[in-house]
Amino acid sequence: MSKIVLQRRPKDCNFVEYQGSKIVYRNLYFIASVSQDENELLMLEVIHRYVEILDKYFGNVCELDLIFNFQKAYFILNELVMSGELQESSKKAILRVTMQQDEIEQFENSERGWGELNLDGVAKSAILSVKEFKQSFTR
Amino acid sequence: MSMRGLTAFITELRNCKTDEEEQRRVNKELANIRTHFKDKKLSGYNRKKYVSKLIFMTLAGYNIDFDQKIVEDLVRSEKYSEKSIGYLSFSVMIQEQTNITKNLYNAILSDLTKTSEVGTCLSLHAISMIDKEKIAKLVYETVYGMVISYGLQNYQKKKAALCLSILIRRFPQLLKDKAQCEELISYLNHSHLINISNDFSEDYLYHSIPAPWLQIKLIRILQYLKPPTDTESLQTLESIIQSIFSKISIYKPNLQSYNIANALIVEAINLTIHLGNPKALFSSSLSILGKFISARDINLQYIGLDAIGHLASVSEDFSVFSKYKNNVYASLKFPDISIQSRAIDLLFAISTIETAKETVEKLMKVLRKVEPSKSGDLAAKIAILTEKFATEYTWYVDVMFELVSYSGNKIDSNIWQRVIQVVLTHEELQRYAVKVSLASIKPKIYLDAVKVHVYFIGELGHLVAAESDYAPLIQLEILDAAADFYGQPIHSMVATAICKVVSHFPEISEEALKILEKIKQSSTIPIQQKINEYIALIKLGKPNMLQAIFTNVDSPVYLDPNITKKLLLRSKSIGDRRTWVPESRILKNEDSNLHNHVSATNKTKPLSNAIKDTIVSVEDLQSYYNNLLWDREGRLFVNEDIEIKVRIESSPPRAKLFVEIVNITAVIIRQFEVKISQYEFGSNESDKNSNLDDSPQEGLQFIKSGYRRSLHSDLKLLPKIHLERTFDFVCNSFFDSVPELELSYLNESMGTRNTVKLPVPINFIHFIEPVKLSKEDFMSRWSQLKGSSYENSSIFSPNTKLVSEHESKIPKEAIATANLDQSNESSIQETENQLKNMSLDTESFEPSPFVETSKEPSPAQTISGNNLKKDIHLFFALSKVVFPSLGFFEVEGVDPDPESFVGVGIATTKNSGRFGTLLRFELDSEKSLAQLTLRATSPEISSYISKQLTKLFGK
Repeated sequence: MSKIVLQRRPKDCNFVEYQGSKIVYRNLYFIASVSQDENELLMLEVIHRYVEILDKYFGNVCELDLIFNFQKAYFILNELVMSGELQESSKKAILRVTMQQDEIEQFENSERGWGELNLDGVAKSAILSVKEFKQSFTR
Repeated sequence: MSMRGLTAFITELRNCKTDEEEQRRVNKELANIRTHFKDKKLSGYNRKKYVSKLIFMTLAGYNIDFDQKIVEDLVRSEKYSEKSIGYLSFSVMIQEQTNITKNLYNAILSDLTKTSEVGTCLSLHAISMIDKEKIAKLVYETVYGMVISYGLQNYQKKKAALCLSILIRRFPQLLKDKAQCEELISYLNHSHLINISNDFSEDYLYHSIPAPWLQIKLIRILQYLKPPTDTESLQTLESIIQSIFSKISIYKPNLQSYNIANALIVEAINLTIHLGNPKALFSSSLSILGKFISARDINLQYIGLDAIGHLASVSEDFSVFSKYKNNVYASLKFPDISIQSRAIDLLFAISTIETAKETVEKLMKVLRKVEPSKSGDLAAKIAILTEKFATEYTWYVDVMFELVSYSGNKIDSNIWQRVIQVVLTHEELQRYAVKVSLASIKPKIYLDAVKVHVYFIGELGHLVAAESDYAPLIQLEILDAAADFYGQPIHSMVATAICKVVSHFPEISEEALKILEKIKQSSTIPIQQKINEYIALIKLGKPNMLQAIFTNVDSPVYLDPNITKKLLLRSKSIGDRRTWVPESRILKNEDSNLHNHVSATNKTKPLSNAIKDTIVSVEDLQSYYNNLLWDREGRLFVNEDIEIKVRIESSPPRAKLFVEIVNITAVIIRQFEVKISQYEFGSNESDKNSNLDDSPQEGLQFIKSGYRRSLHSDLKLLPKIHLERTFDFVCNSFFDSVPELELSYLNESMGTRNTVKLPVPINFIHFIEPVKLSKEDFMSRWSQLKGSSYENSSIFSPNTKLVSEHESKIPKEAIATANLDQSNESSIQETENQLKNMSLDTESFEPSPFVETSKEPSPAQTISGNNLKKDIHLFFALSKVVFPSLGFFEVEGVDPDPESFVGVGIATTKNSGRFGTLLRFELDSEKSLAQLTLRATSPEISSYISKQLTKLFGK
């Protein structure tokens, strides 16, 4: 599928027919395969909404964000669509749920024993303590 | 959050310079992971990390097997971070169509009822992806319970509701009863599920458009409901649609709101179509789409072309679309394959008999440039359009041959098979086709095309052999050249074609043998063997046998409608009911079964296979039949669809019936079949066997040997195009009943199959020929056949209407004579008297045979108008023309009465000999009565002919 999208020229339209279904794509990273009767323009906007949310979450999302945090990108997508059906179109609502998930994870990480401590967790708590440290001075 | 090991691994993979290097790194990691998985005490974190790596490798395109036990452990983990990775790997496995173990399913199902909110949500997601009815049944009650319960958070409830709707759509049988339905519907009113109130939250504004997805979903739902019948609702809908249409924007101040506005328009057009295209909406739809396809935005062009196609697929009148033809032609030239194929589909859908030629020409140009994967589909479309709209046979042959010889890509073999079928089943095409074939054998054309040409030369070459440019010898030379140009692959076909030509023209055997010997030298062993056999056959010098072997050496050709379907069977998903398939219209026409919808709840509509039999008796068409008795050419039948004209040529005891069929409608009539129904032409097999005639050797017999079913069934009648088919008959013995001429065809508008059965218009009288007999011979025979058994006589009043019907046939002098006044008549009387005396003189030994016929009406002084008299005169003049055409030689000077006809004919039968038939016809202009006397060597013949002629001449 990505091969087909790769072959497309920039001036071509965002839709390609492929094996009885339609491919709607934004660029190589956002490709949706939809049924023939799907409203293509609307699908294009579902992709756009997804990109907006990723942008907000990662802060000007780039390719590397998606590669290194692929699981997060999938979790966010799970809040936008379920089995191909749009589930929630509100940016705010999706980000709120995503943040909650992150909190749970953080909580789980901080609970972990030293033996399996994740350095990120250490770094974060370190930053936190630096902040507290600074605050204690400004007070 | 992120896992350091995973990040490092991704970085390493990205740094790999070559594919091989990357593969090595992956292999190393897989080995590493396998060792770790053996560790019973693997920590949750590591489990998550390794599975994440596996997921990443899968996403990078590697084929990875997951250890389902490990995935299950992750799913069962109490920790969200581990559980979520477990579920992510599950979704990857589902997409890769891995066989999921029961344990993993159980792990997912157990999460559904757990108290952890995140667990339930992950489980709902996973369940929505499982396309298994068994699982759906297991969870249905639980998910349903979640939707209607009050204890859940909205966020979770929303997921449950969506999951439930996905399950129900996938397995509608899950919905137990109406009560459950109603419960669900009532629940939809709860504001937390669907929020359509005016004061929706700011969150659902998408680039200043309120809830666009919801809006479109609602318009879609309307398309699943029956269109409203009350005008009020219709008006509301129409005004909503018009207001959406009014928001058309082809400029992009904001790309998002612009896309949404147009997405809404497309959906509104779909709704318009669903409402049955109300006039005002239809024209706004079309004008908007016209703007779309000429817009600079390429996406909009695509959408526009697609939607016009959708409109066209439900329209009856294509003329409205021709306005946009040039835009579509412009789109054809676009380098973007998506745009191009939409344009092709659209042109295919909106082609009419008027535009087809131009469209085919444009498509042929595209075909030469299009990428190989698309050329087959395009060639098929061109073939179908050409066949469907061909009004000139030369055009059809030219386009199809060009298509076949198009060498850029291998064309679907169905296409050349179709060409052969069409040409062999349409006699009108054959002469032109074979001429083109003879002219097309050149070096370096596509081999399949050469094969088609060689085949046609063999099959049809004899049709044009009389023309010096295509003399048999020239045909041989051309076949020889084909063998030279293309060598072994074509030897077998060339050899067979040569034999076919020779079978028609034994005089060129010598030359043919030379060429066959030459070809043999360079052939493969099996072909050499075949050619040897051919040579031996020709050397036997038995042209009849050769003909028997090489005529129809191939199995009979049928016009197989499946080929069209095969040609069209491409890349089309079953799709939604709204999906339009450009071919749907054609397929619909091609196959009446498809045409008559499963959804036809409307019982009044006739079923597709309903047969409408029209058995027409001779009585209904008596005047046509009467005319055909003597005129032998003219109309036999006409209804609102077809007109049948026939011509009868007889050379007793044989007769040929030429049936000319004209489609008098403006549309193509399909599946037309014409046959002689006394005989059943069932399968192929019985067709062949029928040559060994076991049918009765008496009466009028239809000769089947020349009959090819393929030429007579599943025909396509183009409007106003004449189609002629010939049937041969032999008269074995006297007959008064005839086989039926059966015509049947598909009436597409009614969805019925119409069958018309007509008696074959061949009469025993057609086997009577004039025989020249002297007056004396006539008299002696007349006397011999005296006696009630051989004689049949009838008196009737002449049908003077015939005069006006056939005025053109009456000689001018006769009309002039009839116009003469009474005084002139007396002078004629004198001449007549002289004639009378003369005739009496010659019969000095025998009394005039006609003296005995005392039944002759006495010339009573009935007062009759001059007009009537004139009509009778003209009637007589006409009968003088009719009798010879019926097969009676006029024996002059026998009857003293000038207004009488005395004639003789002889009927020839194949098995029961010949029958002399003598006739006397007298007219009494005063009483306006006619008397007809027949004497024949067979009583049944005299009585039959007398009856027939009475019907012909009498009122």
